Formats: sequence, C-alpha cells, structure tokens
Amino acid sequence: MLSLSKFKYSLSQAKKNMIRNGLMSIASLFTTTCCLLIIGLFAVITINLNFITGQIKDQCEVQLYIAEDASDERVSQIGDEILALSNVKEISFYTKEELFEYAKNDVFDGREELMESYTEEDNPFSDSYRITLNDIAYSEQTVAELEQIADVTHVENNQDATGMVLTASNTVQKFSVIIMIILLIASVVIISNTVRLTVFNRRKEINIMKYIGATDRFIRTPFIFEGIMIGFFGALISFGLISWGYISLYDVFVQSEFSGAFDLVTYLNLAPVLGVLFIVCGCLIGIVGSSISMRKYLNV
Amino acid sequence: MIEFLKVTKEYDNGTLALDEVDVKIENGEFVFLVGSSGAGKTTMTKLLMREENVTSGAIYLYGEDITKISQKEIPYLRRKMGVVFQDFRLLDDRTVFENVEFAMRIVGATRREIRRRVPVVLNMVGLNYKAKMRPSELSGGEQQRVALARALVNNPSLLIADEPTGNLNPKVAMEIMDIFENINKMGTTIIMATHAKEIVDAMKKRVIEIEDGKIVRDEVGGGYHVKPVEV
Repeated sequence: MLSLSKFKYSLSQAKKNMIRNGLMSIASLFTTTCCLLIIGLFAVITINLNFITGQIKDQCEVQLYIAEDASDERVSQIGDEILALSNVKEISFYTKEELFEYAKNDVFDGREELMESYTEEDNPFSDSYRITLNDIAYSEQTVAELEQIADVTHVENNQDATGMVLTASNTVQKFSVIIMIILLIASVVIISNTVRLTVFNRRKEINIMKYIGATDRFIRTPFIFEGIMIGFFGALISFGLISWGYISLYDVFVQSEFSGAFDLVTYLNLAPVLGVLFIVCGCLIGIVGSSISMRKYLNV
Repeated sequence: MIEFLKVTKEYDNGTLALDEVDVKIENGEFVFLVGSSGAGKTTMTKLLMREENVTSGAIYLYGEDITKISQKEIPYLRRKMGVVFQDFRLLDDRTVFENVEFAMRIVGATRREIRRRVPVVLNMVGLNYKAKMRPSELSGGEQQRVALARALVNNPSLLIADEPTGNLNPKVAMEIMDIFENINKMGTTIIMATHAKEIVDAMKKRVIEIEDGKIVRDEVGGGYHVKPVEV
C-alpha cells in the first residue's frame, strides 16, 4: 500500500508536473477530450437507439378477427385462449361497430367517399381483438398459434416493417459498440504516445530516482495520477460539450414532426450514464496510457 | 562488509569487464578504485548498485549475496547506499532543498523528518545558505556538494562515488574530498572510482588498481600510479 505521505507527495508531484509540462499536458487533455467526445457521441446514439427500439417493441401489436357467427360466449372464450399464449402481453376487444366508427372517423377522415358504399348494416368488419405481444421476435410463431384458434377468420400481422427497423437498429447498435471499443483503444495509444513524450522529457529524473532507491511504483504513481487527472478533466470537458449539444438537439427534436413518432432519452436520464461512462473511460485512458509509456524507462 | 567472490562480468557485446575478481572491503574503509578507462572500475560500482549483474561469482553486501536479489528488491538495496556521479545528476527544475528532500521522499520520510534532516545535511556540505537556489545557479563544486548531501541524507552506511571530481578544478576537488573524508570519519564506507592522481596520492587511502578486469594492486596507503613505475 502507498503510505499517506507518499500518496500526498505523488499527488503534489503530479500537479506540479502537469504545470511544468504545460504544453504537453494541454496536448494530452485535448486528445483525451476529442476521443471522449467521439466515444460519447456513439454512446448517445446507442443509448437512444436502444430506447427507441424499446418503444417500437412496446408497440408490437397484431389484430385478430372473429367469425361473424361466433356467439358472445365464444368471443369471450377466444379472449381467454389468446391470453393463455405466453407471448401475449395484453388484449383489448373491439366490436365490429366500434371498428366501423373508427375507420370512418379516424382512418378515412377527410376521405369519407371511400366509406360511402358501406353502412352500419353492411359493415365489412367483424369483432376483433387487438393483441399486444411481449416480444416481437416471436411474432410469427404467435400469429400461427392465434390462427389455430377456432372461429378466428384471420390475423393481421404488420410486424415485417417493424422487424426490419429493429434489425437495422440492432446492427447500428453493434456497430456503435465496436466503434466505441476501437476508439477507446485508439485513445489509449494516442495518450500513451503523448505521455511517452512527457516521460522521455523526464527520463533524467526517472533515472536519478532509480539510482537513489525509488521503487517502480513510487516513480510510476505521479505519472498515473497525472494521467488520471488529465483523463478526468478531459471527461469533464467532453461531458459538458456533449451535454450542451444534446440539450440543444433535444429541443430541436421536441419541436420537430418526429417527436410524435418516438421519444428520445431525456437529458436527465442520459446525464448519469454519460457522466459515469466519461469519467471511467477518461481515467482508464489515463491509467493505461501512462502505464504503457512508463515501462521502458523503469529498466535501470 | 563488502566481498567480491570470483566475480566475472562479461557484457553482451563480449567485453570482459571483470575477470574472477576477489576483494574484501571492511566497514568504514575508504577505498579508491583506480585504473585506465575501461579497466573495470565503473563495472564494479555498477555491480554494487545492481545496475548490472555478474556473469558468475557472488557479491556479499553486509552478509547478503546481492547478485541473487530480485528486481523488486533492488530499490531497497540502493537505499542502503549513497551514490555520487561525475555529472552530479541533479534535477534542474528543483531547488537545492528539494533535490535533497527528494531522496527522503523516496523512503517515505515525513515532512517533519525532512524539515529537520535536510538543513543538517546541507550544513555538513556547507550549502545551507543556498537551499533555495536552483542547481543552474551554482558552481560545479557546489552542485557536487548538493549531490553529496542527497547521497548522505538517508544516512547510508556505504557511499559509492564514480569520478566525483572529474568535472571540478583541483582546488574545488580537494574541498569535495575533505567532505568525503569527514563523512568517512563518521563511519561511512566509501568506494570511489577515480582518475584523479593528485587526490589519490595526497589522501593515502587503500588503493585497488584494476587492469583488463583483474586486480593488479591492492595497497593500503598507496598512491595512484596506474602504469607501473619502473626505475
């Protein structure tokens, strides 16, 4: 364990070194901030895609139509049979009259001429259940099970388009995670090179420390603290910039026509995740970057 | 006590720096290592600090074979000794006080211990009044005194010096040697590799002469004479 006096000394040395090597520290800070900004950008995209996917999954519904001659008791039984299926989350029942009204007033609103040939007596609809599924991935299987139920005329499944959206979103999410990992590795390499320059400038000091009996840990600790501090400040700056950008974009989104179709994660929900991600990544970049660059100069 | 037992050191490039060297140095001795460049003097000091390790043989320092210690134990070995180099090796961006303090920080000394000890050591080398100056503001002799103070601050029982007067004029060199002598009188063993004939001749200490990796002379109270003096 690092004693308190050594810990304090390492911390004060790290601060002094940052000031002494001002330009190099600024270069490291700038690099970390840029890398974290890009990582943050992909994180924001991934988190929001995940959120939107969740919303699409929640809207995963199929419509089931019942034969004209089914009795009221049979209709109720069908409801129970539907609920017994494992992928069914909830159901709501619509009479054919309700569906007719809905079609007339909502679906063909403004184009009433298309419904002119139909009257309540000549209602083209039949009684129906709207079924919300638990998991869209099993929708085809569930539809097949629903079609097996007696007195069911047909089941309307509009999940193909939704499925495509979800597949695309999954691909983008996987791609984002890969990009984030690559960027994280790239940041470590860039930071370690920047720190290596700092270490190279201070090789004389490291050499002297070795000769007078400093352990590798004693020598390494201030550099690692320095890496952590640069990573931490980089995280704060990039967090501030991403927050500002997100809040501005969110305002634009809320006023846009897309806001009715889906929601974005609110800043208050996003900020803690992003904050932790930035600080962990920033410190990690600092620690790993400094450790890698130190290795060569400790062999004296 | 320091003991070299059949120590051979061959570098990777094939240079045989030491060839089956046997030597014993008692506690409190003052020993000059002399010899022409490349004779093996510096190799002996490097082996003592474990900057290099032997090819064969053993080196006992206070009863422990330091050729067998692990990489992790090397810093602790080095804390038992003070080291002074020809080029001083001071940190230019720190004051005299901070340069000396640095060695105490490494061993985990508290601020109070540092405040008490550093002025004492600076006083020993006659630099108390320059504690706040930076090495670049000091003369060569003064810089070497700072290096000496840094080597002494943790009270080592062994002081290794590699050409400590190589960069100094004869007058300043003698002043530095006076400090070394005083330190030795307080019981610290001193091993000094040097080319400074006048100093070795004047001080009449034990002289170990090395040539082509072998000890060719080990004489108490001897002079420098690297090349045999033939009458």
